[in-house]
Amino acid sequence: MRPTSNRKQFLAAVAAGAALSFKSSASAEPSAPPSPSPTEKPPSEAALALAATMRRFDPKLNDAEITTIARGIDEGARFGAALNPKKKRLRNWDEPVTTFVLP
Amino acid sequence: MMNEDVAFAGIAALARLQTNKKISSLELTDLYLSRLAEFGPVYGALVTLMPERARSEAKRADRERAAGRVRGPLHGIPYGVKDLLAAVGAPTTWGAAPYRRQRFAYDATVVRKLQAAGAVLTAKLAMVELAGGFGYGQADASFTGPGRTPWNRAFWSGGSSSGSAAAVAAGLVAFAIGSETSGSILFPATSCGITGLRPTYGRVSRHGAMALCWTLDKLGPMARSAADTETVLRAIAGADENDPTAVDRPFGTPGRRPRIGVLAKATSKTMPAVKTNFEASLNVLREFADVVEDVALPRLPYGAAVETIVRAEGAAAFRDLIESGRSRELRAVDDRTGGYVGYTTLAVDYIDALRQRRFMIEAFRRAFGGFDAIVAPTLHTLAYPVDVPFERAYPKYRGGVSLIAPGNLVGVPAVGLPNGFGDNGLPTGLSLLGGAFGEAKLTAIARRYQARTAHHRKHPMLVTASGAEK
Repeated sequence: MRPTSNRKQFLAAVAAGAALSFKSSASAEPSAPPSPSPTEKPPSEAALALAATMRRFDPKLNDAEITTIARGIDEGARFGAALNPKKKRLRNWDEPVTTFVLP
Repeated sequence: MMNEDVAFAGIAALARLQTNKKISSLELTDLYLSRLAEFGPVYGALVTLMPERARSEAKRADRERAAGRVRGPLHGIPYGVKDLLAAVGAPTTWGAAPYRRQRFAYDATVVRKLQAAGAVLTAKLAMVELAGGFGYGQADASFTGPGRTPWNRAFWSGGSSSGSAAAVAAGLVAFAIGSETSGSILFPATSCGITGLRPTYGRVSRHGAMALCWTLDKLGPMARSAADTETVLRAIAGADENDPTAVDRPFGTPGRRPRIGVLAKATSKTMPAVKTNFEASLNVLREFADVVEDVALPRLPYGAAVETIVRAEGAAAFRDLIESGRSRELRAVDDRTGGYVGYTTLAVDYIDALRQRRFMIEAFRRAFGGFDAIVAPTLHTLAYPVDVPFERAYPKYRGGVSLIAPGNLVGVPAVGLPNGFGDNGLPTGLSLLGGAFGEAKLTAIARRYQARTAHHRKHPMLVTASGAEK
């Protein structure tokens, strides 16, 4: 996969590569758990595609489980945005706590 | 003293009973073993009873006491550990079905230190599977079933140190060891009405403990009073060549009149009983401390940071489980998919969370440096019902200000103590958060609070497996 410059591009690239596996296994699982509440926003296509790649570890993941994973991925993207907000970007020199030692 | 009184006695009282030859360590151990066997399963608190090891350690304690050798305040005192600590003689299940037959041929450093202090290991106690690292959303999230608070079995004991808290509250052990990544000592301590101490990151070695998040995990005592938690902490603290993060540091010196800050908006989204009991607690604290209102928590993305770190480090810690597809064997539905969510965490987000953490440490020092403790209700609600998914339990009281995620991200210690009761006989709790390695300041405040109140001395009416009250 070629390098990508931001999360949106990354997820889109993953989606392009993984959509087939998601679609091909859709409705393959006979015992899907209850559907999420109709008021819940559906997960993004990119997240669904990335979630579907987890079937390489557990081929029995059904569509409802993939949707749950995708919602978590979208939530993670929101966390990521909150950690480096556009209004107050982390700067080049803001170092992480790499070895966590209290001062 | 009746057996019931002995079972709920504090560590110092139990030591006195042994010193005065009113009871031996073996008799005390048999009492607790019998209570663990009878009530442990009723409250979902027990994984493995360890009678052989316990009786052997108790007999040794009695022999040594008879010979005039008393190792310290924990000599002959029975205890239990959260089942994420390795201990010879029992499986170490991490609360999760895929690991239910896992065994280690060594003791965790904490267990080894407690053995050296003369304490008696009686049981491995229940916990939320993988300490909750995969994002469980319901009480039934352990292969041993849901933990139940001894104050009302229809309600959850809290997690992830669910069995440790319930066992202390029900008088099944004198004290227990729990672990906290983000709330796993303070939360169940509150739901079970006991005292929990989350030490400073690095205070206690984690060698032999299940890793969930290397940069957040801490082990700490859960007991019936602040004095007891301090006694246990002093026995388990210190450097360890097997855990490079563990250090030897002084415990801090309590001042004569502490200065306590009240977290701003701490009760803005709390249940009425939580608010009422918190306000009553502040009045008690004012009797011996200078209490400053409305101390604001620095505005930083604590929730996003702790979630991102737990997801990323948790997925790394359990990469084998995730890649094997065996997450499906976990009990909670959310846990069967949560590992995959963590697995997809972007490295840049994880690094940004660690970058924010540096700001958090600095902001805490600036905002809270002038206080001996910051105080807030530990939880916004009473214990959750066992049979209701968390998100549906108390939706009205979500999103309030809390010290749990910020305190864990910054690595500072906290003490959680009971401060009253609400509906359904459920306890509420108060948290004191301090500066790094300032545990003694916190326990000194907590001891003075508990000297003026009786919440920590109350204990629940237990029920047997048949439902009879006892």
